[in-house]
Amino acid sequence: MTLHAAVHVRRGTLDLDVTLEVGTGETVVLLGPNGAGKTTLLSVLAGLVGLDEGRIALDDLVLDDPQSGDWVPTERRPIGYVFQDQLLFPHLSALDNVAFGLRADGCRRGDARREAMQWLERFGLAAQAGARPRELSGGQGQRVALARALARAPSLLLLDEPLAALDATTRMEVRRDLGRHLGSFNGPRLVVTHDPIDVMALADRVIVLEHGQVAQTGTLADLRATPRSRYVADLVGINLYRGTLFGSRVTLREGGELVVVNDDRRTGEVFAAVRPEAVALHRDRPEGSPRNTWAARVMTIDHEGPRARVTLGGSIPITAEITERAADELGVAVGTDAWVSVKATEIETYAA
Amino acid sequence: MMRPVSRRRRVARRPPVAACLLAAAAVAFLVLPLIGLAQRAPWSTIWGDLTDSATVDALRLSFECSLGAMALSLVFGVPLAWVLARVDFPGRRLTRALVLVPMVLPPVVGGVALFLAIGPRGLLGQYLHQWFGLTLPFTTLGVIVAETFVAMPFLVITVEGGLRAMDQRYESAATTLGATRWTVFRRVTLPLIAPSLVAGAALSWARALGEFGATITFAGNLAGRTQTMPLAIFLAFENNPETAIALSLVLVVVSVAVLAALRDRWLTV
Repeated sequence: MTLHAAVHVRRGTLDLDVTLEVGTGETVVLLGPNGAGKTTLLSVLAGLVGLDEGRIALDDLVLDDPQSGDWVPTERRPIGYVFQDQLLFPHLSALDNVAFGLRADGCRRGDARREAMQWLERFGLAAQAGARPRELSGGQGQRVALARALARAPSLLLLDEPLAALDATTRMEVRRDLGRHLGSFNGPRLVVTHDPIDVMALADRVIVLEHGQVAQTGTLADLRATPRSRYVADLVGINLYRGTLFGSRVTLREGGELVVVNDDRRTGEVFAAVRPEAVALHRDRPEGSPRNTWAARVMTIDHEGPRARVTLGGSIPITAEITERAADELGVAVGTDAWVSVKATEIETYAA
Repeated sequence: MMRPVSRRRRVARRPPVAACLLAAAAVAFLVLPLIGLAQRAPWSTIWGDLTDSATVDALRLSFECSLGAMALSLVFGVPLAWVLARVDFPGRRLTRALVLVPMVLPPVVGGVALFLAIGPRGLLGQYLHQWFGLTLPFTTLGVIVAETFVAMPFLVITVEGGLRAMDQRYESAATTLGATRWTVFRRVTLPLIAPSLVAGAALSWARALGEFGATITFAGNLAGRTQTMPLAIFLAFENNPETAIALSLVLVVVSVAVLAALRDRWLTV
């Protein structure tokens, strides 16, 4: 079962224009800032919102095609949808929540309950079968929501921020479970999130949406190696600049210039990426091999264990990651001045 | 550096005296008549008054008609509330305003209007009479119609509020689980708005039970057919105040009992 979707929908200020394919057993994570169209995309795939243009098909089954007039309403689409905030029916027990889809499909009450019970057992929730959603913990509710979506044996699984409603500790635990349970589902899986840790735990492939468009696709390693937008760069913690490469210099859009290695003499619009670990800080103007040095002022300091992430403002804003010890010795504090140096060999450039 | 915390002790602010006095007066004003009723009740003869056949007829008629009006309000009012809450059509605000007019209209005026609309020569009434041989004024059915006219808006406004307040994403969730519109309405929407539904039904029933003006104007005052409790009480009050008090007490008890029964689960009283 493969999902083929060419989606074009205009809603308010959002102009969603995305083409994607998800294969059997593949987990694609949709990543993007708020308002990028992630949830709208899931709604379109589920048929809660109709296409303006495009086509959605699962193998040969056309779900939506405005041009040919094909349309399968939501209730007849072979999909499982796990909503943000779970949306378990508050007036039904966990068991009846899971049995809901089976009942809607015409299963008799007894049969539906028996099968729902098997799902709850599989998810380790047999003891909670009679509990109302409000009596369940966040993690249990999440598992019931997933069981409810899977009980109808869907061909396509859609998960909208499945972990967002959970507190930090539960999230870690549920994330592990989720990976395992997703593995037992044999169809295309699409997960919306804005937590990069979810990406690491779940994704075979990432699609980054920004302003309704695909900004970048690839594995997490791809995103980290060559981020193509400020959002992705921030997400993976990389300094990213855009500018024009000529010779061994990149003239940055936002002002300033970086000296880079350009052995193959490329020219034109490029991204320049700098890992924070590659940024050095000095109290006085450094003299030595680094080709890029400039004066800056410390804006914020985040302490992460033995390391400190220091954001700096100046002619070129940048984030540096240095050891706590170095930070102490340099006397780095918010508002103090420092010199930044980056070796040309540490700057990665790639075509924009 | 922490900001110094104010050392002044927080004193519970005393409520203003004037407001308290006025509030007490309001409570007294609302409760005093009920006390008067209980105090003047003819306790020795009350059983006889209440088991009198005319009284029993009026009681029976009152319950039948008010329950009938509640049922009609549910059957037509819930779909209306749903349309007002969920369907965006031109003139929706106007429709809602029109639907709520009977709430503020003097019931007597409602009775006159009903007579002109569905009376024997009325706008619609002449056809009801011609085609179905149906005459509503001065019949028990007419009482139900009059009561429904004044009671239904209470149900509509309460249920519409419930529909608007509920999280519609539950309905989307049900749809993705294969539920048709009707199944969604039956198994998700109705249970989720149950509190508003029960409150709306109770309000419309109470309004129908107490209905006087529209009923007497449209359906008259025929013992056993259109004479409900409020009409019987009004009539008795002139020649036989003891009976009127006894009957009134019955309605007080019923009303308070309903309010109490609904209090915790359905109404925030």
